Amino acid sequence: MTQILAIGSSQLVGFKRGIDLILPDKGRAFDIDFVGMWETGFGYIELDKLGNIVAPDIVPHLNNPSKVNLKRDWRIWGLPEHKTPLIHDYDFIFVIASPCKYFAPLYYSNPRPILLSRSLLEAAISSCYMDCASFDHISPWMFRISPVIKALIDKCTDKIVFVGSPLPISSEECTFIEPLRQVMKEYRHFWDAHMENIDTIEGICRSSLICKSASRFKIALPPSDVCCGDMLSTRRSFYKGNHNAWHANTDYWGRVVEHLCELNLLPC
Amino acid sequence: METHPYENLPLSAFWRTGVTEADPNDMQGVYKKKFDILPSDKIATAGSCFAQHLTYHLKKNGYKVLDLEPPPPSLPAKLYQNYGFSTYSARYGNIYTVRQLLQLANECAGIWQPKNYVWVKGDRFYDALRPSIEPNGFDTSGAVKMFRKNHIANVKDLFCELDVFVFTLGLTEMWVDEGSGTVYPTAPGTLCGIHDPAKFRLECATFKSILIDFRKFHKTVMRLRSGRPFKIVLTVSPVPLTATASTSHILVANLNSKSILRSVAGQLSVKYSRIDYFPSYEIVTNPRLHSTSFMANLRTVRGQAVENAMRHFFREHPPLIDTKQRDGETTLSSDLSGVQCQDEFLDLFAE
Repeated sequence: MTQILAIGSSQLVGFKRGIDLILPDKGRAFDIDFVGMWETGFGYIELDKLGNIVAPDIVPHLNNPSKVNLKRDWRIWGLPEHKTPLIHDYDFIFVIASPCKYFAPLYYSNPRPILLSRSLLEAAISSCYMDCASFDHISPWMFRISPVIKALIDKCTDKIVFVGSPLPISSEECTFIEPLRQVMKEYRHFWDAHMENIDTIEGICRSSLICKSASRFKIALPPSDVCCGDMLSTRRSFYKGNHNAWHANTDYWGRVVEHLCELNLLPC
Repeated sequence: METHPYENLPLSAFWRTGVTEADPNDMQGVYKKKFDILPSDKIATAGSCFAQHLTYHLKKNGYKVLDLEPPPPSLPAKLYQNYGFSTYSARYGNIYTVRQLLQLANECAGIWQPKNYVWVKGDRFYDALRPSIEPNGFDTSGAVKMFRKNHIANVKDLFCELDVFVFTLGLTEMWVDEGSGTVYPTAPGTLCGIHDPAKFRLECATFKSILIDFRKFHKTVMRLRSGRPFKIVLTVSPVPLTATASTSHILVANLNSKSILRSVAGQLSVKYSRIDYFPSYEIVTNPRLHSTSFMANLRTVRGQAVENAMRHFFREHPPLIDTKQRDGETTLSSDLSGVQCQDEFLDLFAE
């Protein structure tokens, strides 16, 4: 039986719902454990020398009104005992953390789309790492790879599967996405550049799935039907609430899980 | 009554008091601006590698420097230069000659198309008109053309949006495609491409040809802007030539090149009220500094010398933000020792 660990931040809750909806516990051809922490707390999670994914004994001050102690709360969900994951127990590690790093507008500023080469995208993606200190000051718009994910990539690259989370637009819809839409509507070359970037990103992700190299992780983008035609945001029908695009509803995650099956990333 | 016309001139009018005995780091009146650069003015920068210093310092001092092809957020600053980001107002790389500048404007206006500009190195493809913007080149020649088309659309917007154009004149020697006359920033075979003497030739721009090219450039940009005027600040790069393909000794070729460029800049600034000349060349090469403006290779300008030149500029165009604000706001690395000069590669051939 294939053993999978799903690790991430708040998006992980949606992913679990998607799994439960599409692949109920009984008939699964795989075992899956879930372990997650809210975004800021997730920035403190570490991989120790033995391969244990652990949390420090601290109570972060940021976004932590319940004064959660990371060590106490970091545990595989649903188990009666307090157990932390050991990477050697798993065949695949699914990373479900927001925002999706393979989202073209994350690479634009002004807002204006610029044409991005494959080599530039790969350089940007491979260096989007943040340390713990930076995690205290993250902008929700900035993409990042937390220290534990960076450590996992270094330690067991071929086990890693990045799962695209909802496109991050909640607080940026008016200030960034809509002006971007406008500028793309007005100027054909911006539209062309953006669509070309989408193709390039999809190409990078596609090749990650067919690549047999142990030094490449896999990337599964959200299926295109959950995104708007201009690929600037998730379709509103998939928002968890009217104005909550940070998190998607179960239909969204159901589609993502179906898509993972189509890509043979989940044994179905 | 004066006994001779030099009697009541200021100290700066005399070599001894103006240069020999003056503090080279605190000379007065070397640069007097011709016009103001307003806080609202949108500035575009381009030129040879020394222009990168101007770009950086204008941004650092709060001026509104346009960047129509900005770096992707989260791309580490150390990679900006490798990909030609934040170096100038768009990713056109170094524009060493006025002919290159004219080509760019004409291409934006749709009245000229470059020929033979996809150069190869190994199995990678490069835009020979800006070979340094993709360190690993492109996958296909089609990609080069697509990126160029997109780039030109952005530069066209740049020419339309700018209020002030800052340009550093760098070289007079240029490599030309024999068939089409297309001018390149680097010699074929240095960064990429293959040198074929039957296909490429050296051309040395003259005072007259540069002047004509610059006027044509100005005319093209004015047409793109539907006649809306703009201001220009010209400088001449104090960085000596790395190599010359002319038959002259490099020392002679260098002075010839700088003299022509300096004369063109002077001529344009004297003649046109909207063109100013900033004497960074004179400030850096001031004999009072005994070549200490340069590093051991007598070519790379020391950071201190750049700062000195910039002090003159910002004395006339005061900084728009205070020092405390500066550090956090700039996106460019303050260490510009790695300023991108493609012609540096020519140095390899001297070894």
